[in-house]
Amino acid sequence: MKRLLALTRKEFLQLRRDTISVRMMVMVPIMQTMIFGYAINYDVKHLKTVVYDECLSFDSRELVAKMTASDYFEVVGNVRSLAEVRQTLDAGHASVALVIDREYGKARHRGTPARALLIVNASDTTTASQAMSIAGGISNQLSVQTLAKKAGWKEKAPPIDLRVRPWYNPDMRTATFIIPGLIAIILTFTLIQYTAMAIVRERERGTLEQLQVTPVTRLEIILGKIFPFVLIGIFQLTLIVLLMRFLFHVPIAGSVVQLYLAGLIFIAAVLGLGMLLSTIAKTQMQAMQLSFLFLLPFVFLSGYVFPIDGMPLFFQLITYAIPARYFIAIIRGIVLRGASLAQLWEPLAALTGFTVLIVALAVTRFKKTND
Amino acid sequence: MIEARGLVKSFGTHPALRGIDLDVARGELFALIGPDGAGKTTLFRLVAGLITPTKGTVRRDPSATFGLVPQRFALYEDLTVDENLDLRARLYSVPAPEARLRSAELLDRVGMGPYGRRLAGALSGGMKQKLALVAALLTRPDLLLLDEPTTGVDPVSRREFWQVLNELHHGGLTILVSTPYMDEAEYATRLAFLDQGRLLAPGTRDEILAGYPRPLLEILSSDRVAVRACLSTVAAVDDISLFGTRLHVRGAEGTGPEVIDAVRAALAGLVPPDGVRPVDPTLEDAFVLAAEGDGLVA
Repeated sequence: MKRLLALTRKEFLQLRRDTISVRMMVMVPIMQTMIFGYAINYDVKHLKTVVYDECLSFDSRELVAKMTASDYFEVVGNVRSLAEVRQTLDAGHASVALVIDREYGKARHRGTPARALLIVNASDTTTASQAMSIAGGISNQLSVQTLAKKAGWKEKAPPIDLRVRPWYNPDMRTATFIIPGLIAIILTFTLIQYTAMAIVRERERGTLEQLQVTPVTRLEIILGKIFPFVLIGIFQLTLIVLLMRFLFHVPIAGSVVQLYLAGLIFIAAVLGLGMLLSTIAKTQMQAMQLSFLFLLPFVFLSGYVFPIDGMPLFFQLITYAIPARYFIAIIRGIVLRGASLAQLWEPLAALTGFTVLIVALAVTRFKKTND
Repeated sequence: MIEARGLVKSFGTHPALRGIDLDVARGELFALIGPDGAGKTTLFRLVAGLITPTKGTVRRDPSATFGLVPQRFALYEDLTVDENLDLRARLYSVPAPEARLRSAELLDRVGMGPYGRRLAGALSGGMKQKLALVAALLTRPDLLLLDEPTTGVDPVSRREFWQVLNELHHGGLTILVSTPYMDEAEYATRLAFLDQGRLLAPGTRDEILAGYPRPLLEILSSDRVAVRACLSTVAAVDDISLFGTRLHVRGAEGTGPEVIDAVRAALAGLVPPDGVRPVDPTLEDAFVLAAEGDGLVA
């Protein structure tokens, strides 16, 4: 225990002199939280819209007004021909075009289908599907109003009154969804690399071998190397949780203690991965490159940004091998839904299992790396 | 203190050590002399228990503690001299007051007293090696293993370093040291050559030199190319090597002191008779012969 403390003390002495790394450990979580929290937004508002109104009537203007009132569409220009519509979209000056038929107004009064056309730039599928669903909603609303008047419907609610309640993220903010998961990504991003590089550095410089001829046991060497990073992990976790709570105002619905408990298990898994990498990499450069190898699947196949349900079966199967998947499920459960670890026992069991497996493998491999 | 029997170590298909028998007794200063790639570092790592033998055994006296100074500086360059020593003391559970006293005393002894607060990475090559020695001695080991401690160190520091080793040896410490420099073997109580994974001719310096089985002549001449040419046809001579400004000429197997006459005759007109004289072998001569596989009676 005394020796373990001595090794830990040594790591912090070294860290104190490595001011760049210390700054990175603080700045990387802050920067990433800012970037992901502010920049990523699935809820695209003010889509640039060009209008070709062939009708030029009260009714056609009503449609345009309804669209812009939704905040999702912003009219950036009026054109007078389909060719101009095409040109505006081609040039990228607008991503949505609303074309209103010449007979639109007359049809409304006649009580026959009034036609309008919404063209969206579907190369960005997220934006396109959002524009489509909002426009569809507006069209339905107008249709229902028209039909209700015609049928003499006197109720305030429509014939079928299906109410939608967005629980757990009532304002539907992307940041609320993104930031809890970010905890997993930042811990992965920083800790795998730090651990792998720190161990490889000691091996490269021969100091690891020097430690092995002292009375220090292998286990103490491993723990001494890993313990400081556990503390760094907890520090980073705290940093992100504070930013999440007080800068992005994401309320933590569940238990903070349980959040940290799951966090510790995930930190152990990530440190194990770092250690595993250190037994493969010969140089610090290789350690860094190898850690990027892990990063990509952790970001994209963990359900952090892209929903797992939307992936092809093959990739869905791969996600089961990614510990971040389970951790993200747990944090979202705790932070957003106020779930307890008991309720989240499935991802918790999977995460714990993976952690034990990774750490055992890393320790075994680490023990026979001299020859 | 150290006992190796039939020690073999291979890395993949490459044999680094091919069957070594080595005994180092308590209180000895044993020098292993050998060129780069001879297997010296592998032998040290085996003795230190960092790697396991492919075949054979290596034993350290189980009651003896040891310190290892590896060939490459292996202390933390981003810690100061004091911090490195403090860490070492803590890892060996040396009480702090004792560790401080001893560090100061050892640093003074190697002339590094004023450098306690300097970063280890900012020390010169010679000082780094001294620091490594101090770190190894801090825990009062019974056995000191030094793998090429003076390679790449300037001559003055080398001399100082060996003076310290000599003092330690006289203080009763058992030392196993490797070096590529023949002249450093002067200090050793016993020595052995290590060449291509084999240990040749272990013994004291005098034993090794007395056991040199060949006649050896020294030739003083400014025209060494011509001398070589003349002697290449003399059957009684089987090796000519350059020693500083002189040539050492070795008699072939089975020849005796009479070789000198054949050499003088062959060089008649080129070198005067008194330019050819018998000379005592040096360790380098002994090593060259041993390395050729003639085998030596130690």
